[in-house]
This record gives sequence, C-alpha cells and structure tokens, in this order.
Amino acid sequence: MLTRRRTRVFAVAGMAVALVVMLGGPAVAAPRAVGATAALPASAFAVAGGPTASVLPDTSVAAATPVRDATLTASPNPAAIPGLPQQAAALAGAPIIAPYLSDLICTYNGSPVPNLQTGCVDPVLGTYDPLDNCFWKALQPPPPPGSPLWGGKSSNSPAAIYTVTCETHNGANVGNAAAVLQYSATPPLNYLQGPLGPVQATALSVFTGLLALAPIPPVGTAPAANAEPGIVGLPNWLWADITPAFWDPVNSGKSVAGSSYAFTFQGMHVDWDMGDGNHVVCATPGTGYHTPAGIGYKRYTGSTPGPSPDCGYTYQIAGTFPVSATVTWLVGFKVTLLGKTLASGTFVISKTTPALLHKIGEAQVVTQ
Amino acid sequence: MAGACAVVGLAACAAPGPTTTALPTRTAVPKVVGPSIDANAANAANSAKDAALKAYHGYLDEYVALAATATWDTKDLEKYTADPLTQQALVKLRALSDAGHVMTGKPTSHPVVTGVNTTTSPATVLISDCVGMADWTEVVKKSGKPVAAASIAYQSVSAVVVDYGKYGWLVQQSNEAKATAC
Repeated sequence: MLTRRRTRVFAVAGMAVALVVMLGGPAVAAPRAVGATAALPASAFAVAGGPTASVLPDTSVAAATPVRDATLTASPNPAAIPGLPQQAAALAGAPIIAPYLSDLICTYNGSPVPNLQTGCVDPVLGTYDPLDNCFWKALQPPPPPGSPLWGGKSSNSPAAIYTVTCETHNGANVGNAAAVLQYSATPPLNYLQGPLGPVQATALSVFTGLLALAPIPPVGTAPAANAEPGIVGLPNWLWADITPAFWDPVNSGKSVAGSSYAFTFQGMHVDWDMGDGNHVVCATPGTGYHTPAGIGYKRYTGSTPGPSPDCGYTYQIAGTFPVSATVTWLVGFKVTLLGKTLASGTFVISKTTPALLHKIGEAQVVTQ
Repeated sequence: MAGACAVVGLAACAAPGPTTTALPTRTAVPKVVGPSIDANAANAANSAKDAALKAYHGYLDEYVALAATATWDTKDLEKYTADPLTQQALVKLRALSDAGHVMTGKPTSHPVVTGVNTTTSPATVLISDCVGMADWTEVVKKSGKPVAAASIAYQSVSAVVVDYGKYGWLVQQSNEAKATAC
C-alpha cells in the first residue's frame, strides 16, 4: 500500500501547524462551527471596500458570493462559540465568565489589519472580529419592530442586525468582501469593547508572560514545504504543533504588587481556512502524522493510510490554495486583592498563522 | 423626455433599457393606494408619499454634495438614510476618496412613488428613479480629468423608504441597475 506524506510546518507566536496529504483512504468530514446567529438570505450588498463600477450606493443583492461560509460567519458571537458552556462548566479555578474580552490584537492571516482605530474599529465597517476576520456593525438606527429585515426574529435589545463585511486579503480596501446582513441575539466578540482597563491589561500581560515562560513546542521539524502536490479527493491531515500543556485546561496564577492573578486557560478550536472557500473547524489541535515525539497534541506513528481521526480535509478541486489556521484559546481570569475581586472575565485570544500555498493536483492514469 | 418620465412613471422610463432591479424578497409587498380606501387611509398614504420623497431627495442631494468632495467621515447622511444604505454610501464615498477622485456636476433625478404601505408597521414607501449620469462625472481630484470607463448614461434606482418613528422617514435600501434611457 502506497503512502505518501506531504508536510508543511509554519510557526507563529510559539506554535506550529502542519498539513499532511494522505494518499489512500476515504475522505473525512471535519466538524464545523455551528453558531446561534442566523444568516438572512438575499442580503449581500454589491459594495465592498474597493472601487466598483457603479457610482450610487447600492444595497441590492450582489452577484458575487460572499467568500465566508455562512455557518462559520455566524459563529463569532461568544455566546454562540461551540462548546463554550461545557468548557466553562468543566473548568475549575478562575471562572470562564462574562465579560468576554479580546486582546485587541486584530490580524488577518497573521498580519495586522491596517488603519484600525482603538478597539479594532473601522469607522465605516464597524468592529473587527479576529475570530472570523469580519467587521460587524449594528444597523443604525435599528430597523423598527416588524421590519422584514428582522426576519420574524426578536428585535429586543441586545439582539441586532449587523452588516458583516469580511476580509479576503491583506492590503488595501479593508473589508474587501461583499457585506451581508446577519442577525445576532447577542453582540459578537470584541464589539464596542474599547480599550482594556488597567487591571484587565495587567491580567492579560501576566497571562502572556506565563505563556511565554512555558515550554513552547519546537517548530520546523517536518519536511520542507512545496515538496510535492496533494491530490484531489484524497484526505489531508491537519494539525497544529500545540502540546497538551497548551490545550487542555490549566490553572495558573501569579502575584503582582500584592494582587493575585488567577487564570484558567484552555484551547477552544482551530479554524482552518483551506483557501478554496471552505473552512474546517476542529475541536482539537489535530493529530500529527509521523511527527517526532513531544511535538504537537497527538501523533500517529502507524502505517495504515486514511483520514485523520480528528482534523482533516479533502479538496474537491485542483489548484494552489493559501492555507492558514486560526487557533483560539479561552482564558478565564480573576484578579483579587485582600480577598476582594478587582476584575474578572474571559479573554478570547486567537492567533492566525500566515498563509502557506498548498498545491492540489489531479491524479492521472496513463493507459496503453 | 425626462419630464415625461416623471409623469408616466417607471414603466415608460425603463423601456427599452433594463427593468428596475427586483427588491429583496424580504421586503414587504406594498399595497398600492387605490380609490376604494377611505379618506384617512388616503391622507396617511399621501403623507407617507410626501415624507418618503422628501427623504429621498434629501439623501440624493446630500450624497451628491459629499461626493463632490469625496467626504466620507460625516454624519450628514443620517438625516435622510438608515443602515444598510448609510454604510454602503460611506463605503462608496471612502472608495472615491481613497482613489483620489471626486464627482463633478449633478445628476438628474425623477423619482416616482411605486408603492405605499401604511397599514402594517413599519410604514414603507417604494420609490423608483431614473438617474441621469451625463452631467455627473467622476474625475481625478488633482487634475480634474474624467476617470476612464465611467460611461453609465442612466441608473435605474429602486429605493425603500421606511418610517423609523422618532428618526423620521429614512431611505433604508437603494438598489440600482444600469439603464440606457429614461
């Protein structure tokens, strides 16, 4: 039985992610995010950040299809993040509770989104959500109750209808996909968060310091990229080189200037942008295929080809696709001084790797 | 011809060019005011028509003024428009600014009310317009030279104007399509 391995490794902020193409075995259906928000149909606008042929503004249905999967687009709402309640219930120590906060580091494919104001805000498009790479802006003024824009859903605050405008590439024309209308019962992550308060900022600083002191997995141990293309219809293994110490629930703490900072952090999901318009959202960092010991969350050392047991994808078309992964952690924190709680909440922190080009070709059979 | 359009309505304006873009299906189907409704309903419909046309005219005039300077960091449109149209208008104006372009001249406009619904909340008025683009030109701000490929003669516009209560009547949506004649 023929097995070929195709590995790419890249590292950002102390993590490495890899993609392996397996030849042989059936495709795997990876889990997808399911949010509580719902896309409203027929609500994509023709106008995005870039110049267009028309002169007057147009809110009509766009010919272009939004690049983001509707289901995924619906998931940035922290209350709708898959598994969040279960994770919160399972965690001890510092509670994972509201308010949900972002570290306000807003990137797309590993690069900062340009020209954002404090709080990752674009003055026209709204607040950037690093979990889905989209700008969210609640309609102002809100449509009156009974408006068809509500789609029959509740218009009671904090429910709102948002224009959602996603990034599709770095560089000019921020928010470069067509906008869509999206209903959400609660505000999305980072929405109108504003700058972190002093105690919150210190908590984040302490946590990131603890993270930096911990053993970070080595990177660059897999075969070099661009060795050979993958094949249409055959499964890819996806994994991030994140050890269990940085994924499973961990309690930690530190004292700073007499105050006690307690943390509980846990990996939430890895969102793979496969570059062909599809996303794979995995609840684990994935299983490394023939990775060295001590690297990654889990590793497979067997010789039976097939799909990844927990995180994989099968391309249906040939091409060269930019693949990136966004890893998201939940960090519950509680700051106390002399037994009194000064601040508490949950940071939702995500880091996106730069895109790597992944080549997928057609298998050809030569007959005589 | 333009004056005739205003009198005879959209059907004549649109022919032989493309018809007005269909509104999203979620938009409430308006009830056309007919002779059988009572006086109160007729008065409400007429008031709605007047308020909606006033908002539409205000929106178009304000947008043309802002486009003349490619001003996008403004709240001036909000007197006449609501999101999503407000946001899309600002996106347009920012794109003009980023490109170093402005609009010179003025378009022609002949809006007509094509539907009124005052019986369900929110009250809604549909407006159709055929906007003449011949004397409204996108130019490079520094040189004043027209931008190439800006050759749309007319734009057929379908607008949704909604009663936002304390905010008044605001243009909420505006769909457009190229037209070859009015």
